[in-house]
Amino acid sequence: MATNGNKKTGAVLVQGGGIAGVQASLDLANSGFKVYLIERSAAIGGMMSYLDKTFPTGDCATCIVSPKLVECARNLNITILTYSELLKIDGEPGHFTATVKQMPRYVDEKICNDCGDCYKVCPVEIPDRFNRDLGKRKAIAKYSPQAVPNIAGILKLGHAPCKTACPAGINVQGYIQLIKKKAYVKAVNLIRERNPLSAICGRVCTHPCETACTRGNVDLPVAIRQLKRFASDREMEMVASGEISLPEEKSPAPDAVKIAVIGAGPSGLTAAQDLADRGYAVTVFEASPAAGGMLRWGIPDYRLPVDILNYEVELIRRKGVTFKYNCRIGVDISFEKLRADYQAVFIGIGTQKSTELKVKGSDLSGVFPGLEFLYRASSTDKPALQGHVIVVGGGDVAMDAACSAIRLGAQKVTIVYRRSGKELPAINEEIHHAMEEGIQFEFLTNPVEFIAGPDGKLEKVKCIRMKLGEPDASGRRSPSPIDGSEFEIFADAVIVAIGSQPDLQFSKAAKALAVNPWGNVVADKYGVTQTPGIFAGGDIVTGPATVIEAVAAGKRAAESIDRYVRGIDTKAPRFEDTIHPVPEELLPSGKGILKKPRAQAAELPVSERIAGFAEIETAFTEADAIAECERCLNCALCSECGECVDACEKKAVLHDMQEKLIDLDVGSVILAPGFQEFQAQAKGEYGFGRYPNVITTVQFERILSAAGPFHGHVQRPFDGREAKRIAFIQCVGSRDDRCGNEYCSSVCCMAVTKEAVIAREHVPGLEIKIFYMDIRAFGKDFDQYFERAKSQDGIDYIKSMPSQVVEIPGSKDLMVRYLNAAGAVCEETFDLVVLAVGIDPKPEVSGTISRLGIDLNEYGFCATDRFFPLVTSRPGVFVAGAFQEPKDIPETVTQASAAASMSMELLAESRNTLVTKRTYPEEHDVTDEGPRIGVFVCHCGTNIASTVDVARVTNAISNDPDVVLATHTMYACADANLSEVKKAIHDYRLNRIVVASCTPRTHEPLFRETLREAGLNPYLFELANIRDQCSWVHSAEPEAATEKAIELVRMAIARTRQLKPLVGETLAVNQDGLVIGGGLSGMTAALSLAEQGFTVHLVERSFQLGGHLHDIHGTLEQDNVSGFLNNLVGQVKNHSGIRLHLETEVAAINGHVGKFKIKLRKNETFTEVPCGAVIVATGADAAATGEFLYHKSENVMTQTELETRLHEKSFFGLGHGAGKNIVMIQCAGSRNDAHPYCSRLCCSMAIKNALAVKKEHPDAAVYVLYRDIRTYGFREKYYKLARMAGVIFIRYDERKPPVVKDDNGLLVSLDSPDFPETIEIEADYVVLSTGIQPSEDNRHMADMLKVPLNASGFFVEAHVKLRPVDFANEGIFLCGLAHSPKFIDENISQAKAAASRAATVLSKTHLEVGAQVSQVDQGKCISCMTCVHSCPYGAPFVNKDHKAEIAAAKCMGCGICAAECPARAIQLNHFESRQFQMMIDDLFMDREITAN
Amino acid sequence: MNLYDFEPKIVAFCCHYCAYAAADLSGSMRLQYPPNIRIIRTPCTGKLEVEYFMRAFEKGADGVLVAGCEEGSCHFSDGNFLAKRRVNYARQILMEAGFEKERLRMVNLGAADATIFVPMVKDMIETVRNLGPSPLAKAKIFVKQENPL
Repeated sequence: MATNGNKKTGAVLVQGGGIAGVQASLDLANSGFKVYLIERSAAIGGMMSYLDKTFPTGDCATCIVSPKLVECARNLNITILTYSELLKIDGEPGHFTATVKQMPRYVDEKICNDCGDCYKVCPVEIPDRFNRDLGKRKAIAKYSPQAVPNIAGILKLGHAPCKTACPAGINVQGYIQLIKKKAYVKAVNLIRERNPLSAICGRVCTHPCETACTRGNVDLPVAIRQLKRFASDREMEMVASGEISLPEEKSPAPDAVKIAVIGAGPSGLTAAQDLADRGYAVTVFEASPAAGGMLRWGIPDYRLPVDILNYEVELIRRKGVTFKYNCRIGVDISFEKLRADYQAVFIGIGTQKSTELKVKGSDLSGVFPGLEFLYRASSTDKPALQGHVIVVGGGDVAMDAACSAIRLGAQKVTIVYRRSGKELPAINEEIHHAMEEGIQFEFLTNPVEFIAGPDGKLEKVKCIRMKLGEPDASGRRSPSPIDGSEFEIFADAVIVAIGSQPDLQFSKAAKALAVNPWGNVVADKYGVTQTPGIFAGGDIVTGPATVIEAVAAGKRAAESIDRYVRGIDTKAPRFEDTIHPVPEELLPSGKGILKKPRAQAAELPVSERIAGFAEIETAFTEADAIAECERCLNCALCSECGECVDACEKKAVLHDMQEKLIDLDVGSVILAPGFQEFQAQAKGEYGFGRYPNVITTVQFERILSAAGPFHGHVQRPFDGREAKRIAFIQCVGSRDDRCGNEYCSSVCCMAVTKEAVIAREHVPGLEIKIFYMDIRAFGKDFDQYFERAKSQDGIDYIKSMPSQVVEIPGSKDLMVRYLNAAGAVCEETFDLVVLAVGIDPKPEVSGTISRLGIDLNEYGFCATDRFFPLVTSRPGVFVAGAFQEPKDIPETVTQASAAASMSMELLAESRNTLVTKRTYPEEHDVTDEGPRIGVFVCHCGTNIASTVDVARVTNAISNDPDVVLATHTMYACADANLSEVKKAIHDYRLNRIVVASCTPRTHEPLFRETLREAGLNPYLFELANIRDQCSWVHSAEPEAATEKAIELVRMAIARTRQLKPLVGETLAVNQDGLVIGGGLSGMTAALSLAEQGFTVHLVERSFQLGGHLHDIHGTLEQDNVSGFLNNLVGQVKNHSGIRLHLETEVAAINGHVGKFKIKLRKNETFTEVPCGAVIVATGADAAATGEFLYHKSENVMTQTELETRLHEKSFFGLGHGAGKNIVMIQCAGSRNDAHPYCSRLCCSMAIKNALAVKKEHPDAAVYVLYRDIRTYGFREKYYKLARMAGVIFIRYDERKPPVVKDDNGLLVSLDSPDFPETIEIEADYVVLSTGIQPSEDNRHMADMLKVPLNASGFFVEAHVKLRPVDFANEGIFLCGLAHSPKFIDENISQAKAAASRAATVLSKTHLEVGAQVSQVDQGKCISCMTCVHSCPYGAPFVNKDHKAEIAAAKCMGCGICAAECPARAIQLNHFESRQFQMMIDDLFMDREITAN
Repeated sequence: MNLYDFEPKIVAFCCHYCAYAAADLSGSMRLQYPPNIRIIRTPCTGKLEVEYFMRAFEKGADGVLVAGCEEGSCHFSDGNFLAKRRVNYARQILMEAGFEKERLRMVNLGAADATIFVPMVKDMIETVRNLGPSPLAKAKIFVKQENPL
């Protein structure tokens, strides 16, 4: 921790990289705090990056959010930690230690430059979560097309079941993916990493991988064994054809440590290879004349041709392994000598001896032990058979013996097995083959005696029938003989294949070795025996097992031997410990996966088979193999095939990256984890997840996006057909007790309206029906948007919740069933149904956060209070965004700034303690120098160079005028090259730099930084975009692309010649703030700034603070407003940082950001207050109405008046409510042509008052006449409570508002769309919800501030979505009702947000104002004022000399004034006309056209 | 009219915030279009002066494309509307000077609209290809080419 005594830590942890987290981070970092922004996913941007457009302006979401994300990533004081989650927070507010777990990206963030080479080669295609599974992505890919950080990441879930099931841990998924892309040699190499016997196991493996294969849950497992064989065969064919050659022969170094391996079976071969690979001198001692062990002598040729075995043994031999054949330990060489000569010995001798059947006659001639029979069958000394051969046993050896017997002349072969067919231990393929070849089976039969014939040779076998009893230890039912069931079979030979055992001769020879009573060598799972230096593995340790288990044992033992030699603990973690199965719940469920047949390899016809020992099975065809690979479900996502590693020339891919824990010292924490969309499967009646053409609004957003899965075509996922009729169903997972989401998700009504409008832009004539409960268009300018949408032909709003969606078989169209207004059941057919899924808290985040000791509310969102919307139950931890309550983008951004403000208040004393500022060498003055240009052309690996001839580009421009240096480089943005650039600037005295590479949008800041580090002004740089706009878009036309690249570089050079060094202006900032308006918002903003340590002027027109809050007594949630107000006023009055100006008005506003002069008028006295930032919180007025007999009948009142009367207990006199009718009329005078907006509050206010009436006077009848009830968010609960309390809600026809008549009492009549006839209610009281209207003074204030008002008369913020409390004019901020109608909690958030934004100015002593600003040539200025009128920011002004001048602090650098100036007196720095002209001139130089 | 192979050369002025980003995204998505356009980046289409369009034609451009943000989405409020006005004005002048007005075109698109950018560019190139070389460029090309007849 920084040593700053007891001072609080000037750093903040922001959890969640959505727009809330990004905004909070930017505000904090720009106000002097260090920020750690932690994000669970691979990129920041959150939900906004999924959106196509935003409402109500239709702005492109990417356009508006991307610059913020890039700014966040570039900020020196924001550390972004992706793949990270918050585990715990220790300590006190101001002094927290937060523990963060960062999961691996498997790509080095510092190296990757998004060249995309890895995506191209990755064979794994998986559903693209970013596109909500509508498209595919690669396992290594960018999170989204415009991700920030703009780098790749790998998705891994662990290891697939095929790999975890394989005893040797072969990366099965990996090699299958490589086969899919025809990389056969790579596939085989990947297999050989774990198993040198690839071609062999491709034929004889018992393939536990297939048993485990997840595909088996869909149809049949992937044919893994045959795929392995296919790849291995391909490799051998390539060797045979000379396409590739065998690896070179190696020999161990002369001083290599010597290791002996006894037995050349699978375990010995594997151990030998691994040890040779590690540089040992390995000698294999083999008793028989050739290598292979059981592979050679136990498995017949028709299953494993000897050529295959020889090939793989040869590969092992070439690694430098020496084989000594016909060398039996204890006979040809003593075990002790071996121990003496070799540093370690591996024993892998297998079980060579057949188990004897202990029955009478087993020594008769004609009775063969199984293994010996097979040995002879594989040798030249083949036994000759005839007649009937009986094979005893049911394992693989029995099948092999039986099938060999038929090939060796037997006319009939019968397998006698003591259990039933179900228990046969042989693998299915072998049983199947045996049956095909006519082998008979006698199940539940056991021989009890072999009977000799007259010649003394075997003649008959006496058998007994068996029955199955209870399961034994192996889980199989144990057989027992049935008394008296003996019978005899004639037999010419018997082969006994009931198992094998160690050859005890060996244990006699190796006396030092511990063996068990059956002769098995005792060793642990790593092959370590109890004798130092002796290792063992395979069947000799375990008893008879499979080839792959022997291979695995050999591998483990080789590792142990290596560790033994090097003195490392054999039990320390090793390969086996790195295997992590994919958690079962994350395995593909198989849902939605179409069944595909498993590939079948051709087999020899039976007649050809039994004629000899030719291989039965053939390899897959290539087409079959690839189709089979495509059946793989990629359970682990990334297959770890290694293709990306090979493709990445920058070596950025790191598959062994590990998760890590990071401790961060921070002063406070802001939680902004966002939400997830409701999981629509839970609403089974709508068929999401079952019907492909039922999608969610988030999916539809991706469909609409040009960068989405269908490139913006509105098409059905099922068949790609363009949709002509779409139904939207609202409130899926919102306002729905049955799915646990009682609340309203607030955003869906507008989101759907927007999607409908945009979809119709994509598909002219598209018909859309929107099924809804209430349309909640309550935000600023929302209702107008909704009304426009509604009036469009083709968008039909239907107030009804469909009961069911049914898919029509065949067409996959969707039938929607609903009740119409008349109560009749309707059915309509659509192409596509879009479910407006609500906002749910993320379950994993809610879990984490409640572990942090933070309370959640009844719905799983963060628990907060309406007066303290940003405060969690844990001091020092704040919350913002949808995790607090469902909300849209501007409110999220507002809360983010507000939460930042809360942190700044807490940590005010530590501002600027942990931030860093980059320092640069002094700038080299280039003004008097001619251009000396250095050009660096980038290959971007192959991204540019594979299309554009980079060398030719470099040569073409190298002799151009002013070009001093032209060179090309592999990666222009690599650290090494940046150093080269700096060196070149120095060595060649370069004063202009051109880099030809990717896009300035991402890389200009980096190169500018490099120039600054080399002492060159950053504006003397130009980037030629020859990748994104050349090589990538013209990859089929290398010649033309090269020509174009040359021209682009030339244009950049031409422009560079004209570039000028630019230095921004430094302005001293007045660090006082000023707030206009002393209502709730103004007081809150002033108090927030004062708490942050700034001096604030609070200007209030009236004699008291508090504004409209004096008229409100309680919130919907029954909180005490008066108490809160009194407390707030007290704090404001008593705060030493607040200068209160009551009964004071703003008379004039001058100056600009950092340096405003505000003229105040109190009575007739004027004072001038300087300040650096201004917050406008001037509020709004209660709307008045002249209708509904208001002011004409004393029993007609507004909701506010009713609230006061309820509060004063003056309603109904002494409480005679019985028989009284109270009629509330919503939207009285609003949502009409005169007031086209919704006042947002009135529905909740009516419900609040209705509940209050019902509470005091339960017998009074309360009617609420409404158009849409807009109790959004958690307010929905009170709507429900009101209905439960008996309040009657009646919808009225918006075109015919209710009519109130006074005819000896009030009579309200209305037409409701829900009732056939006009309704009349005799009302004792009529209560009007009149809403809020903008203050009449807004126009005057707007003129003074030079800011705009909208059509309704409210102030217009800089950007409706992402700059909700800023004005376009820098340094002026907006909050409260002056912005638009809103609730107390929303006003508080907005006020604090404005304070946060103001603090980004006030926290600085000096402001750097842009260098890229417009400048007026005073000599040319004709004082026409065109610039003053055209500037959107009010930057130009007329100076003392009556000439235009531009305030750099206000200029945003658009250049509009320069283009508009009729005298051409204005130039935009860095985009001067001459700079444009030179580019144009250069481009057409070859055409040499002149006007004359 | 196409008596010889004609490859139009078109200047595209692209707004940094929208069209230039869409052009980059076309690259990221590896969408393909003919290499006839040269993009010049501008902070806002509202910066573009009529003289730039005229100079391009004067120097030999066969077409000029102006690509700005969608209407109502200008980063600088209304720069794209000002550009539209100037483009319309320049088209008038071009017509008076004997150019086809289709050689100068303004389009609006968002940063994510790569799939709009590419067909739009292709369409511009095709349009200009069908119009043939710019009236000013024709003379020069005739000199360069051997008489094809």
